[in-house]
Amino acid sequence: MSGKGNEGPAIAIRGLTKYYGGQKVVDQLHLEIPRGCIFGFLGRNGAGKTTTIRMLMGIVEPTRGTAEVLGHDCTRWTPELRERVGYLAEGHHVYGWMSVAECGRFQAGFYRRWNWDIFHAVIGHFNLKEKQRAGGLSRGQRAGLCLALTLAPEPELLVLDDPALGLDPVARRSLLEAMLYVTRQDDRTILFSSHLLSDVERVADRIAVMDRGVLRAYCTIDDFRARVRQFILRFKERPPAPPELPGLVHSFRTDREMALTIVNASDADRAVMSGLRPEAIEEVDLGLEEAFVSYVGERGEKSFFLHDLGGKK
Amino acid sequence: MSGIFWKEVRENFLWAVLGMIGFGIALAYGWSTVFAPNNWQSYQSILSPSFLMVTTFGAPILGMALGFLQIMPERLRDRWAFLIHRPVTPNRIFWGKAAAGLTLYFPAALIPFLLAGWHASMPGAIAAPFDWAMIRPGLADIFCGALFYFGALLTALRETKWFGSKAFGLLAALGCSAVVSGAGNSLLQTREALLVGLPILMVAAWGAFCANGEFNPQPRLAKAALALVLFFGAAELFGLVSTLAEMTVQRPPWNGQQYQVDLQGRILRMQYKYGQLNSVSDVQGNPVPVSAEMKERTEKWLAGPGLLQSLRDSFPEMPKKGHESYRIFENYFSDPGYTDGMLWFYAPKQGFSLGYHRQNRTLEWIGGVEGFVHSERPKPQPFGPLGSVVSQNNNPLLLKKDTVYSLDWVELQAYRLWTPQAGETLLAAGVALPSWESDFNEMACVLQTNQHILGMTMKGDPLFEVAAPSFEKTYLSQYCFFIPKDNRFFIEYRPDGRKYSDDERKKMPFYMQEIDAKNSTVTMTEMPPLPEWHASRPWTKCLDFLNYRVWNDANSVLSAWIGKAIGSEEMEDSFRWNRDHFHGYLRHNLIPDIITGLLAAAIAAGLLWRRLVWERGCWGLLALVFLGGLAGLVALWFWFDWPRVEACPACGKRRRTDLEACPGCGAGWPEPVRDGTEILTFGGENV
Repeated sequence: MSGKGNEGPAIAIRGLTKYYGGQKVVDQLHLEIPRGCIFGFLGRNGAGKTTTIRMLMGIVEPTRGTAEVLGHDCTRWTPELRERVGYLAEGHHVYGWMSVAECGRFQAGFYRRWNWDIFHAVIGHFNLKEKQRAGGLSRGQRAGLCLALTLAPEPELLVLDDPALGLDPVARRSLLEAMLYVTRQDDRTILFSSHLLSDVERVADRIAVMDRGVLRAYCTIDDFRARVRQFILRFKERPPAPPELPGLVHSFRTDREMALTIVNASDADRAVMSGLRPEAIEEVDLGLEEAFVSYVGERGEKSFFLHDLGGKK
Repeated sequence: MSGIFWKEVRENFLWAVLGMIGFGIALAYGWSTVFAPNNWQSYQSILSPSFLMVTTFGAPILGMALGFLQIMPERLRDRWAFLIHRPVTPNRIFWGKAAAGLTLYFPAALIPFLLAGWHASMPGAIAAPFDWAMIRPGLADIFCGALFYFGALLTALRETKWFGSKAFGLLAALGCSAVVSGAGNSLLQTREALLVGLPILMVAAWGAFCANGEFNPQPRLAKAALALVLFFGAAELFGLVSTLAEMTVQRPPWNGQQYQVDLQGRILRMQYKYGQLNSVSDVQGNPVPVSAEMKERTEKWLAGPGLLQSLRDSFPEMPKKGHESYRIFENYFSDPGYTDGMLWFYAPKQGFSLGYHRQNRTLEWIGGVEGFVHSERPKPQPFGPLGSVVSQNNNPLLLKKDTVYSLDWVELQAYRLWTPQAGETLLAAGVALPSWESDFNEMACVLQTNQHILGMTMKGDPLFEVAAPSFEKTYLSQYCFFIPKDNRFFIEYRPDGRKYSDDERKKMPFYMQEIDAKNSTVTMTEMPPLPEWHASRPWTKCLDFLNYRVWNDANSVLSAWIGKAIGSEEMEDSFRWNRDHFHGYLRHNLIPDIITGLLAAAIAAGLLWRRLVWERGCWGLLALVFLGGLAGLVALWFWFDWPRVEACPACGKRRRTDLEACPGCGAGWPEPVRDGTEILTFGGENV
C-alpha cells in the first residue's frame, strides 16, 4: 500500500471545532495519533467522540479547524484514501437481506485488494456460516461480520466507533481478539472509541479523554492512572470540609474518612492535605474505570454521614 | 457503480412490485369509472379526467415513495457511513442508486399504464376512437413521477435547520408537475417543464448526496441547482398559498357585463354580480325591468348566443399547433356529441365523422362528404383536413378554407353549406340558436368571410347575404343571435383583444349588426364599451406579490426565444405570442414587481450584512433575489448555510465561528479554559 501521507502521524487534528446550531460539540481539538498506535478514544455520551470521528471520516463538515487522515485533508476523501482506511461505525450495520458470503462479495467488489483469508478467518472466529442471512445474525455475530468486512481490505488505519457497544462479554472478547490478531501483524493504526474501559485497558497504547467537547487527557493508560490519584484521609472525628485544591475532581466524606480524587497532585497538594491533620493519609491506585469515572463524572463533594441516617431513625 | 446498482435493485425490488400493484389497482379503478353508467356524458377514453387523475397523482406518489425508501433508511447515521465509506466516489454511489431507482420506477409505472393503453386500443373496448398519441398525457405524468423521485431524494438527503424547508424539493417537483398536468398546457410546455425540472432536481439531489446533505461541500453546479429548486419550491408554495387564499377569501364567480338580445330583438346590457344576473338596461343605459323569475330563467326570454369561431389560419398571430393541450380528448377527436344510443366523434387524421354504439362500443357509422355509411360498407369520401369544428347543441359545422359542412347525426346526412367566391376567405363561423332547446332544423348557420356575412339553414338553404362591415380599427365578430319568427340575426363585434391593450379596449365601443333577412335591411348599432370581467374581490390581487410573475413570463419568452433560435416553428409562434403577452404584462405589473424585488433584495442585503457573509459576489445574489422577489428571498434564506456569529473574545466585535481569525483584530479562537486537571502527556494543545 503506498500513496501520499506515508510519513507523519496517522491522524493529525488541529483546532477542530464543530457547532450544531448554537451548541459547540467539539471545541478546538488538537490531537496527533502516531502510526502503529492503538488509540482509545474515551468520553461520556455526548462528549464529542462520534462527532470527531465523523468529521475525520468526512461524513460531517467541521465548522473550523483541520484534520489530516494519513496525510490527507479530512474534507477531501478520495477513493484511494477510503481504501486505506477501514471504518466500523456504530450499530454494526449490514444489509440484512444478504447472506454472509454475499456481504463479502458485495464489499469485495469495491476494493482492489481484498484478503479473503482474513474475511474467512474472522467469520470463522465468530462461527458464522456463509449462507446465513445477515439479518438473522445475533448482535455479536453481526459485529463479527462487520469486522470481517472492515479488516479484509487490510486497511492501514482502522477507525472503530464503539465497536463493542451492546455486545456480551464473550462477543466483546472475540471482537478484540480478532481486531488485535489481524491488525497487530502489520503494525497498523487503530482508533477506537469505547465506553468499556476494561477493553480499552486491555489493548490501547494511548488514550484521549473528551469531556463536553473538550480534550482533557491525552496520554498512556499508565500515565492516566498515575495522574488520577485518590487520597484517603482518616480522622478521629468528623472530617473537615474538603480543601480547595486545583486538581481536586471529586471528594467523598463519611463519618471518619475523607476520600479526595486529585489530578496531577503535587507536593503542595500533599502539604495541604497534611495540614488538615488526619490520623493517616493513604494514597490509592485507581483502576482505569474508577479513575475515568472520577475524572469525567460530576465534580464536587458527595457525603454519606452514618450519624445523619441514625438521627433520622 | 454496478455493485450499488444491483444492491439497490435487489433492496427495493419488492417495494417497486408493491408500488406497481398499487398503481395498477388505482389505474384499474380509474379505468373502470370511465365505463360507469353515470359517466355517460364523458367519453370512454384514456384521456378521461377520472383516469388521468390517477396518473397525475399516482405516478408522483410512486416516484416519491421509491425516492424516500432508497434514502431514508440509509440516512440513519451508521448506515449512511456504511454506504458511503467505500473506495468509490460519491458520484458513482449516487448514480448507481439513481439508476436503480429509475430502473425500478419506470417499469412499475409503465407496465400497468401501457396495459390500460393496450386495452383502450382494442376494438370494442371503448365506445370512442383511440390513437396511441393519446397515451402522451399519462406518459408525461409518469415522467413527472421521476421529478418527484429526485425531489424525494433531495428532501431525504438535505440537512436543514428548519425541517419544513426540506420539502422545497418536492414543491419544485409539484410546480413542474402542475405545468405538465394543467389542462390548458401544451406538449411544448410539458417538454420545457420536464427538460428544465428533471436536470435541476437531479443535479441538486446529486450535490446533496455528495456533500452528505450539507451545503458548503457541494459542487458549485449543485449549489446553483439547489438555489433554483428552492426558488421554484418557494414560488410554488406562494402560488399555492395565494390560490388557497383566493379560493377561501374570494367568491369564485366574477362580476361583469355583456350584451345580449332578447326574443323581441332588443339589445340589452346585462350586469352580472357574483355570477348572477343583477340588472338589465338598454343600450342607452335606461333600466329594463326584470322580475326575479326572469333573472332565474333567462333562457325563456333571451336568444341563445352562438359563439363565432375564428379560423386560426386567418389569424396567424395566435399560437398554432403544439400549443393546444394534448391532455384534452377534443384535440384528438374533435367535438364529440351524442344521439340516442350513439356517440359521435370527428377523426381529423382520417377526415371522417365516426359514430360508436354506446352499448356495444363498436364503430357503427362513418361520415364523409356523401353522408354516413355503415362501418362494414366501403368508406365514403373523407372530409379532408379541417380548419376547425364548431358545434352547438350537438350539431357540428366542419370548417375548411374552401368549404363548410354541417352534419345531421339524427338523419345521418352531411350538407355542404358554402364554397368561396373568388378572393373570398372564411374568417369565422358559428351556429345561431333560436332557443337553448333548438334542434337541427330550427338552427341557422352564420359565416363571416372577408367579403360577406352569410346566413343559412343547417341544410344550406340561404337566409341572407350582406357585405362584411368595415371598421376603422380591427374588430372581431364574437357572438351571433337568431330570432327565427322575424328572421332577424344579430352579430356582435368586439375590439381585437390581441391587437389592443386592456386600456385601449376600455375606450373602444362595441358594435351590434342587425340583419333583418325578411326585409333585407342591415343596421349597425354602436354600443358603449364594456368593462373587463373582474374578480368579485379585487383586493385579493394584492396576493400577487407572492407570485414570481416576472420569472413566469420571462421564462415563456426565453424558452420561445430559444425555440426560435433552434428553428422550431411552433416555438417561433409561441415567441411572438409570449412576447406580446410579456409586453402587456410589463405595462401593468412592472412597478409593483420592481418594488417587491427591491424590498426582497434590501432584506437579503441586510441578512448578508448582519450574518457577516457580505462579499463581492453578493451583488449577484442580490440581483437574483431582486428578480425572484419574495420567492427569491426565501430561496436565499434556505439555500445558504448561515454561519453562527459570536462576539470575539479578544476585541468584542461580532465574528463568524467558521473563520479562524477575527477580521477585526486578527485574533484566533482561544483554547478551552484549562483548570489544571488536564493530562496532556503527548501535547493536545495548540502550541
